[in-house]
Amino acid sequence: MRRAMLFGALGAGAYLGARYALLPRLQRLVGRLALPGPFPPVPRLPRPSTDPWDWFAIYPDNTIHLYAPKIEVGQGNHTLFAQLAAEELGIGHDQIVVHQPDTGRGLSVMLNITGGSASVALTGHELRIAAATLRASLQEAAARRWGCRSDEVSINNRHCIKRDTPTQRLSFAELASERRVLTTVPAPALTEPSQWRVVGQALPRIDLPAKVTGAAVFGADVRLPGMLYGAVARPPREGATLSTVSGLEQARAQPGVVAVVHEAGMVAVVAERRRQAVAALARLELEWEGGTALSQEALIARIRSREGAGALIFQAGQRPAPHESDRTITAEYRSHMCAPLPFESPVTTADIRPEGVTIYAPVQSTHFVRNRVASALRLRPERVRVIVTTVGGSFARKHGAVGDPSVEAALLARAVGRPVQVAYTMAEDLQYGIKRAPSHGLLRATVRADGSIAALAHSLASGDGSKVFPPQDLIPRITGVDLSGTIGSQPLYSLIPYRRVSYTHIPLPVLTSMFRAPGLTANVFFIESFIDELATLANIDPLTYRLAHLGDDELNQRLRAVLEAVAKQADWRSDAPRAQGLACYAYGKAVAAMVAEVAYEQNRVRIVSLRVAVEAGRQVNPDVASSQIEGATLMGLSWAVSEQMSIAHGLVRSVPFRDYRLLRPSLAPQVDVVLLEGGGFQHGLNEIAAGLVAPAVANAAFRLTGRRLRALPLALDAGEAYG
Amino acid sequence: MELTVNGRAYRVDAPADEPLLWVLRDDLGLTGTKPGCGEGVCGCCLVLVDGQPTYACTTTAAEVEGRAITTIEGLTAQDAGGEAKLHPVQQAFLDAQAGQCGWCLSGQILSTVALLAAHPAPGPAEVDAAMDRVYCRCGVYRRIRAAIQRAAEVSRAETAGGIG
Repeated sequence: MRRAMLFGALGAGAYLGARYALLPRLQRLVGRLALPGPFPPVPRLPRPSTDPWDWFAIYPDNTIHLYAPKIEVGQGNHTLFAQLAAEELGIGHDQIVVHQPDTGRGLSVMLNITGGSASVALTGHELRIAAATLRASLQEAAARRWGCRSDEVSINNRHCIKRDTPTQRLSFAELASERRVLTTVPAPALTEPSQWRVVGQALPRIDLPAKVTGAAVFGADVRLPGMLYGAVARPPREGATLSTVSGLEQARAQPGVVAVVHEAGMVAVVAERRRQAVAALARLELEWEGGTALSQEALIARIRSREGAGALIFQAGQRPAPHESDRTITAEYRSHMCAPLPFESPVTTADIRPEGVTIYAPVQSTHFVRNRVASALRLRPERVRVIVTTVGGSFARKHGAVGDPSVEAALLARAVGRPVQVAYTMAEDLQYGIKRAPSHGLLRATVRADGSIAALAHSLASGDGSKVFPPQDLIPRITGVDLSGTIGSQPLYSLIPYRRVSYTHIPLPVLTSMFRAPGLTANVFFIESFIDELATLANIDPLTYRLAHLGDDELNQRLRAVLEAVAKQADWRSDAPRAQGLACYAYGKAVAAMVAEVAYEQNRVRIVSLRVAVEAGRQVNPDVASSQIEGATLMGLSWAVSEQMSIAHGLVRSVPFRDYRLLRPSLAPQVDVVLLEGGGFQHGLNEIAAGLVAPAVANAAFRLTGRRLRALPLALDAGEAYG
Repeated sequence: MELTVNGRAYRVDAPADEPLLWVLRDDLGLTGTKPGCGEGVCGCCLVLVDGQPTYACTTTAAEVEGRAITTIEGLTAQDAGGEAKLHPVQQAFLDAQAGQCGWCLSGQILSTVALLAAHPAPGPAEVDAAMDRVYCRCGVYRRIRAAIQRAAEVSRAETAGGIG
């Protein structure tokens, strides 16, 4: 009902928008949001509390616990939180136990989405205040006990110590029992960056010790007393629904089966063992109706851009007066679907008791899961507690708003009255999980006699980049422009006199949604390969050509700095006998440039090295930053040269894992990272590098082979598997 | 059936065709061994059977009855004071900060243990072959390679020390 009203209002909005030319302005606004800049592009988001007791607990054993409002999915943000807190608390960062979010304990639910490489940007300042306040409060409490001033109390190894009589010491735990006294101390000044001892250091990650021993409890490792396993029937086509179900008795009679559940459009088996559930499910006779019959050929035909068609999302400068000697250059680029494929496939364990529902899940956000489960069980969201486990990778796959088994686990747990775990297999995740939207771009440049670009137009079309990801999925409904689809589509070179981007959103009946480095992995490939084509036609070195089109504005100056840094690192020379390729772009407040080097090895194109320079302000932990850049680079390489999926009869083709062709481990090239500090602090940099790999490699491959590759994945060896 | 895991004997009541992976995780509660592709390719489930790297997803528990199975939980020793003492390969992965999400790490570490047992001074081809046994989705390969090298150096130094 509410939904119908909402869409009614949106329809009216679109009508009014068109009538009063509001729509074009909204479309341009989406284009602006997609440009590099502060992340998130929406200012004045609610900030978290600075109350130390919302962030910290001190246990009786004197361990310090930090309740993070952001989820560790492997990116290292909990180590950064520990460093920020340790700096202000005057203790070691490894003396802090950082917990994953739990809606039953911790900070505002508003903040419990993790993404955009923005954990520290969105919450780090408040954490520092909370930690400084906690320290001052502990010192004040100790001073009162000892009848001295608080500046006579120092801190060592989680104890307060009276400076003139070091034998007098009180543990944090003893002091924290006077919690009421503690909270009255006002927030003190934060440690000056010039005085930082912990922040800015390449300290070891705090999550790795439990990960190398097998002690970490991931979502799939949750084991509750009496827990059963659920297997859920999945449709043969996207969008198909169950029409008839038979064979229920047969399934129920199979070994280990506890229940066969057919409700809310779902049919599933719950059994003592997971394979028993799967085997019994296969005994059911299911008929499905509806859904799509989309083929890969039809999908490609639908994702087709037309010159200048769609919404004008970006326009800079004036169309220059034509010259007789102008040349028009055009090229057509395409990207196919691929998968985030975290190695821990989505999994949920649900436990339903009279006092409430508890969901254990390795997700990237708590509130989507909480709201979906509450709605399915017809409960208020407060009755559902979501506890985030250790997460075995996410890459936007586990945002929890769609394509995760939380609701299924909850319905099954309610049906059988025992805890139930439902897991996707990796094969299921490949077929039914979230995919990168396919896209198609037409590029057109007007080039002067001297080779410089007078005008550059990009006409882009893509599928959904944010399906079922509220509220972002409303943007294309209202404006016809998909924010994720447009990120990376806009040429950043400010000395090109005229730049424009038009965009066409093409909804597809396929689950494409948020993705690591949204938009970038395809769009930057289009733009930065085309720039390389123009440099080649002009017979100008690609580095010189890029620098010549960069202006004096801040973003362009920063791009210049990373280009020059990476060129130096790679010993870039236009006359070098090696085949190198360049790319640069920016995401959020981070800017980056990459040089790929390729060579023939046994008659195949091999990537020799990838060098990347990133400028993202002073980093809390430069080693965590480097690791993220390395990882994003190699994941980006796998997407760029290898991974691909296609659809047949309305469903992603089921292929063996081997044929999905992840980058083979031994083929991972050398990756060199140059971190430039630049200005500012801890701009998110976990994603940008992934967007630079495809153009850098394609441009290098062109130098080597003379063949211009304009589709992703790059056909480096003309049909032969790279991976 | 009877299984010997990490030097301990277990009686297990599971279907005859049950993969070792699920017996370890669901019957014995040894969840350090992770499920992955289920096809014996990605290597997240890699364990050692009589020291040989073995994919637990494509090996039935019945096949390995009576053989010595080592999982990640079996690598960590306890010192005299009851404190956990990491295996040198685990320590090498920590030293190299070779990990992000951590899902593949038990497979990576056990694969390295097997590599160094077979080749105390592995050449590039042997390291490549060992690396291809276990995929890492986060793309930490450069650090994994460094961790393998480091573990090899440490184990050679220890061996040399033992002999000397």
